[in-house]
Amino acid sequence: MEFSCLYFDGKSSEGRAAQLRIDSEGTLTLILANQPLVIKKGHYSIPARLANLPISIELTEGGVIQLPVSAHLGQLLDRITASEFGWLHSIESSYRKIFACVGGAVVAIWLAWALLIPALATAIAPTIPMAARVSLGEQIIEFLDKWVLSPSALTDDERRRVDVLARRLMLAGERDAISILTRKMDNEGANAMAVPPNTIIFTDQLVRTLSDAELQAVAAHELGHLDLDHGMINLVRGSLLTIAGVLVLGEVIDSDVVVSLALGFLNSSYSRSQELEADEFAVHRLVQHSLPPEALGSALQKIAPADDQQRSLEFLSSHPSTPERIERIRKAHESTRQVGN
Amino acid sequence: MTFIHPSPAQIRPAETARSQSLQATFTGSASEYFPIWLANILLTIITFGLYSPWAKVRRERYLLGHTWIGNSNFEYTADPVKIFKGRLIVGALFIAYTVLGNISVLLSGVLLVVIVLLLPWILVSSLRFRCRYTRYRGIHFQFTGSPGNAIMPMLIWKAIGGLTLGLAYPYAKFKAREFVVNHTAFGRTPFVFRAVPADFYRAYGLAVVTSLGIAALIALSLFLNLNVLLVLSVFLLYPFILAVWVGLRAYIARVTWHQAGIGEMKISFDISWVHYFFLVLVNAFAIVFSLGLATPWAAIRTYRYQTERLSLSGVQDLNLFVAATQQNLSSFADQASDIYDVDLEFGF
Repeated sequence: MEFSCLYFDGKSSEGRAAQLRIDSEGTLTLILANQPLVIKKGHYSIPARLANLPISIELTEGGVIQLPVSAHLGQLLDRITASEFGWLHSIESSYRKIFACVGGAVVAIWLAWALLIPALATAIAPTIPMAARVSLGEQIIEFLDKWVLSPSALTDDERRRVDVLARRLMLAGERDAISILTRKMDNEGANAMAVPPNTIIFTDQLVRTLSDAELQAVAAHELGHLDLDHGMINLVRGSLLTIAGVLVLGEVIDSDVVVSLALGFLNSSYSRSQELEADEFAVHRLVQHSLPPEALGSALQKIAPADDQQRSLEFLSSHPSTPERIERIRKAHESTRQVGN
Repeated sequence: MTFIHPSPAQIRPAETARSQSLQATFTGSASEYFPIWLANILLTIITFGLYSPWAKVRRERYLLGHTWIGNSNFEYTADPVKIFKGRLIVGALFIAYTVLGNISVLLSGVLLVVIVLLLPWILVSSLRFRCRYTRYRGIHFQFTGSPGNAIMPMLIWKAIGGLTLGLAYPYAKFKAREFVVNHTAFGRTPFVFRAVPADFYRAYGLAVVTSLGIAALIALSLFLNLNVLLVLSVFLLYPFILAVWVGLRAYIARVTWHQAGIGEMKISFDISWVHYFFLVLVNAFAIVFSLGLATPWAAIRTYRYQTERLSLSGVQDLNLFVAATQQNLSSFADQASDIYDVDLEFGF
């Protein structure tokens, strides 16, 4: 087939009208001022097609042949050049195909977020060496002591009470490894936290508010966080999520603030499921020691601020709502009892 | 075999008329660009961003390919693999900086100094990349500045601009723009920068005076306890900041290119900052209310507006431009910088 074209020699901007013959083998014959010039396959390249832009055939020896796109030319080029991006042009030319791809991408992202990233994090977390864990834990405690916590004002007796109660729950190996700290917390009041690899911090307010059974229930919950390695999993998952988020969202959304908000939102929904896991761990541990698991529920109720808005903000929160947790604790307890019977 | 002679409506040899004016036109459309944009985003997402150099090439090819002057379109000819390699280097530097920052403050400081020292080279490489892979009528643009040339306008003057509390900043901007324009060439035909520092002082002066104006308005309403005025000025603050920011950009782009020339030809870039501001404002609303789906529409509108404000006068013959010599294109520094493409903002 023969096409009218414009030939630029690449040395000057002069465009010369010419004819281009393309045969089925992909050999080009450029007829310029009645002089045929044969260009074999491999001596030219054609960029992937894009929309209806004119087609430029770039000659290896220099020079460009430009010709307007037409249906005939398009079909011919698709046949002679096995373009790597032919499929892309086909998708881009059809609204139906592009929307089907959007659906596919949504599914892919959801799978990555719900399965791939948590699985990777769970697989990578155990490989973090103990030395790194210890040094990280020290840094976290240092940070907390500097910005969030102040020294405990508990009496020695009060401190001993937490220590004894918490240790009573532990298995032999845990008893030597885990250290129990008490601190004062200015704003949030009653709280407890697990700092990897082996520290549990109770706040003064918590120790003074809770009964013995409740205190042990909270200790069991925090022990669950440590035992299930949540801290390290969070660390790895946060890094994975940040990398993926910056790579993906950073390309699409041109705002660091939006990207980090979105990532924080995604991360918080993971941590809610960890709270439930730790609750479950606590119930089992308490039952093992013939302690009442209901104490965890009543401890939560004492700590939780009576806040009606909590439910509406549930999706943004790092902890599930207290009623939801109490309900789950009750169920977990029932199922253990059935197993026990 | 059948012989088909489609009439090439858009491609013809340039008329060899006497001196004439040529208006740039843009033939892209939002409906055609939308699937390209969407495919770019999707592929970027499912490849965790690895596709983004390819996406960039398709986007640039589309936008430049639909930009016409005198029956010829522009072409973007960059190889995405080269952009990909360049980004790997940037990524490696970034990771090295982050990791070193955790290990030793001293080492990361050293790396930061190295990066700053490399800045002229990075800037020039990026400009070179952009020019070299832009083609019009078979000829590539080229950037002739060297990293050495870039040190004064891009580092020293910028620093002086900062040290003088911004007083010299418009002059620094002037020097930077002068450097960019005067070292750009179409083939062997150089661009000529004709703006004067006063243009830049006027632009920044205007921005500062209007900013002080709104600050005074807020202060006044606080002082007089006029709540209505306060609410109004706070409500208008965001559009106002946008107006100053966008207006300044448009104004600077205009003074940079409006009087510039290419060889004997004169460029006209008659962009109005008021029009441009309203364009950007409407774009922002459209993007927000369409949850981002209007992004390609906004991009096409912006690009069309900019293109259609561009024209050339004193055009003798579009056939007479000459490509840069081969020797010029294959110097070592050029090869080294060939892979380096970072998106830096130089105005439109």
